[in-house]
Formats: sequence, C-alpha cells, structure tokens
Amino acid sequence: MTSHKNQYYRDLLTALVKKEVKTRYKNSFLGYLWSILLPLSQALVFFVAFKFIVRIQIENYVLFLVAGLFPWQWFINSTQSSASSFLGNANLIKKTTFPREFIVYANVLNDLIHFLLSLPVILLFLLIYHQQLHLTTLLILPLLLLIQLLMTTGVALIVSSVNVFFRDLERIVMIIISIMFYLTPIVFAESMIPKRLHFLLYANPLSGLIVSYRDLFLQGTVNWSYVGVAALYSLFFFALGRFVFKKLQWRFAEVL
Amino acid sequence: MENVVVFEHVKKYYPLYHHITGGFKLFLFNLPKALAQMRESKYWALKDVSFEVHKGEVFGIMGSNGAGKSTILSLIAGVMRPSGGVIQVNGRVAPLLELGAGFHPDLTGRENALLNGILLGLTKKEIASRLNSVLEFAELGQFIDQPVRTYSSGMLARLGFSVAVNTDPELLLVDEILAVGDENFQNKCFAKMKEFKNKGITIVIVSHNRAVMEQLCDRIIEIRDGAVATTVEQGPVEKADHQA
Repeated sequence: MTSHKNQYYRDLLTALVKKEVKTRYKNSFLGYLWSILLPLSQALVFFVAFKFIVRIQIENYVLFLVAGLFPWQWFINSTQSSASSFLGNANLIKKTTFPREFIVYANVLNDLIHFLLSLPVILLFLLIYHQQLHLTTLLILPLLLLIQLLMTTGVALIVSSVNVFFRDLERIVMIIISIMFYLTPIVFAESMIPKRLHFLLYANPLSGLIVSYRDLFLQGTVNWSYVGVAALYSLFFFALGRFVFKKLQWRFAEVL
Repeated sequence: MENVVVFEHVKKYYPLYHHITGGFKLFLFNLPKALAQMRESKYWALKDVSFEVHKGEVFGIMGSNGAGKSTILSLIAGVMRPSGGVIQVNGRVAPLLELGAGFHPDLTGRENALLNGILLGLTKKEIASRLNSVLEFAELGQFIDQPVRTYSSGMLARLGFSVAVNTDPELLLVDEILAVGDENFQNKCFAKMKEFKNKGITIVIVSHNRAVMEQLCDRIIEIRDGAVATTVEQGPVEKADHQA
C-alpha cells in the first residue's frame, strides 16, 4: 500500500513537472532560451554599468556576474511564480484532494531544470576567460543545488500559501526581492563589504549560497562557513514553509 | 444497508474574510476592536445537516443558490473540514470538475487526460491503461491530439466526464455539470450513470434543476437555511430510460 502511494507521489510530481516544462515557453519562438537571455541581458547591463562606469575592480567580471545571477534567477523565478501556485489552480483545489504542495514542488523543480540547462553558459564563460573547471566544482555542486532546492521550496510554500489569504504579499515580495538583490553579493564581491557590516553576509539567507556558487565556479574552492550558514537557512525555511502550508491548507478551499 | 456517506449534525461556518473597509488608518486606531470583530464574524453555511447516502444509489442535493449544496460536496470530497459534527466517507471519491478545470489550455486532450487522471488519484500506469476507454467515451476524434484551448465547452465537458468516470470511483460527485454538452452526450452520461448504479457505484448530484434531478435521483434532499428541509423518496432511476 505504501509502495503504491510512493509510486503515486512520484507519478504526480513527474506529471506536474512535465506540464510545467511543456507549457512555460510553449507559445514562444525562442522557448527555453528565454530563461538564459534574461540573466544574460542583466549581466550585460551590469557589466557596462559597473565595469566601464563605476570601474569595479573585479577580474573576469562577466563570469563573476553570471555565476551569481543564474542561481539568483532560479530563486526569484520560483518565488514570484509561486504566488499564483494555489490561486491559479483554485478549481482543482476546491474539488480534488491530491497533495497541493506538489504544485509548488513542481514549480521549483521546473526552475531547477532551467537552471541546470543554463550551466553550459557558465562553462562557456569559463572558457572565454581561460579558466578551468575544477573537480571540486562537480563534486560540491549537487550539495549547493540541494541547499537551494530546500530553501527555495520553503520560501515558495510560504509565499504561495499566505498569498491565498493576503494577496498584497505578491507585491511585497517583489519589493523585497529588488532590495535583496543589492543586499546580496551578486554584482559586487563579499570582500568589498566593510568589516563592520560583515554580519550582513550571515543575516541574508542568500548571501552564503551565492558566494558559495561563485567560489565554486571561479576558484573551485569551498568556504564551509558560508555553505553551513546557507544549509541552516535552507533547513529553517523548508521547515517553516511546510509548517505554514500545513496550517493553512485546510482553509484554501474556503477562500479560493 | 451499507452507507457510503454519513453526515451527523454537520456544521460548517466560514469566517468572513472582509477586507479592511474603513481604510487602514481607521483599522489601526481601533485595532483591538477591529480584530475581535474579524474573529467573530462568521457565516454559517451549514447549521445542522444529517443524512446518509446508501451504497449504489443516486442521491440528489437540491437548494437555491447559496443554500450550502456545494459546501456539502466539498465536505464529502474532503477538501474542507467541518466546523462541527461527524462526516464519514467510505471508498474512493471522484469529483467531476467544472468544464475542464485542471486542464491546461496548451496541452492536448490526450496529455490533459493523463494529467487529470493522475490529479484524480491514479498512478500513471493505471490511467495509461484506461486511456483508450477514456478517449473512446469522450468521442473527440482527431481533436484528441489538439490543444484543449481549441475545444468547445461540450468537448471539454465530455473529456472531463470521461476521465472522471474512468477512474473507477466508488462515489462520483457531480456538481451542476450535465447542463453542458449536447443532448446525445447528456443521454450518454445518463446511461453511464445507470451503468454505474448497476455496478453499485454511488452518485451524489448537486443541482437546482428539479426536472433533471427528478429524472435521475433515487432520493433527493433539499437544503434550506443550512439544514435539511425535505427528503423526497423517488422511484428507481428507470425514468431516464425513454430518454436514452
């Protein structure tokens, strides 16, 4: 009986992810390339703004940018689209009893797939800048993916569940995200943050993760204190997300 | 007699989620009062509802708009919890979704049928093995491999009904659905329901259309003011025959 249940959950997740992958860019000519073009165009803008105008002192700046922008893109895509995960499936939620959290899981997994598909672009920039791919990168990358998967899922569960009752959240999340972008070392290096503000690196759940991605792609090194902090945050958000979802899910059908 | 659904003194209220009407400032200044008011304002959709649905019967729930019919259906489907009382449901429940709810407009009929079957609780293998009978019953011809956004509402209803009835439900929940679809298809649905009934599958129908209900149902309860107002025992469902 439990094996039937597990089989069912696997099938449900696969079917929902397939649906997401199939439909996201179904009617657009460039298809999945859009998930690469957006962060790439951002990288171009930041390159011009910060390298030529601000003259930031960072080597291989485009590589530096894409190594942070692509994972960031995964995080915000999932967070923003999760706002409508339950609202947009009101009819299903009012009638059927399949585990609703799978809609959110499928959503985040879809963005993970797009992130994986964008990794060759990072490799391309490694080549362009004559950098080598380190073995450590390949070994540790799955760990970072797992950390980000848990963290993103947790945040997405919170946003999707609370947004059913409090629809202003969607807008608030957008504001928070645009502020977070500049509080996270994506366009600048963590070493540029003044010493007395260094605690901010640990206060921001995404900083450790983004810095770790970049260390890994650019130098093939791992700073375990950043990875550790990111892992703790991810466990915290995943647990909180599950808790909030479980608390609220019985009232979805009442308000949708 | 075996009961598939039992409601015992079921109550259900909805908290009234009214928005902060007097403006944010007013709300803040009267915060304790405003919060207390929010907590207390409830809408009692069901005050005291008791009934049971026997195995293999076609059970109708009637009532005017807002009487609480759909609330009862949601409670049977298990997507809500009652505020009081006891609900027992035995067996696999299949809801009939509204016009293609859960269908993605860009996916084909076949892809949607597979997805919907899984959303209704079947594993991929189970729905795949039934896909032929789903497609056969839906009578969509070559449209089955077209995106469902090109479908008429009747075609959507056919596909939706077809998936639901092919999930081998023990209890089928029908919410005002058969109003769409042409006469031929309606007759087919009626025939299918009769077949279900003969197989011992229970059907609960919600509607405010008395004529259709009297044609289909063995028993009808009427909900008024959140309680069961009347129970009508009907003859067997044979009346649907001369229509088919």
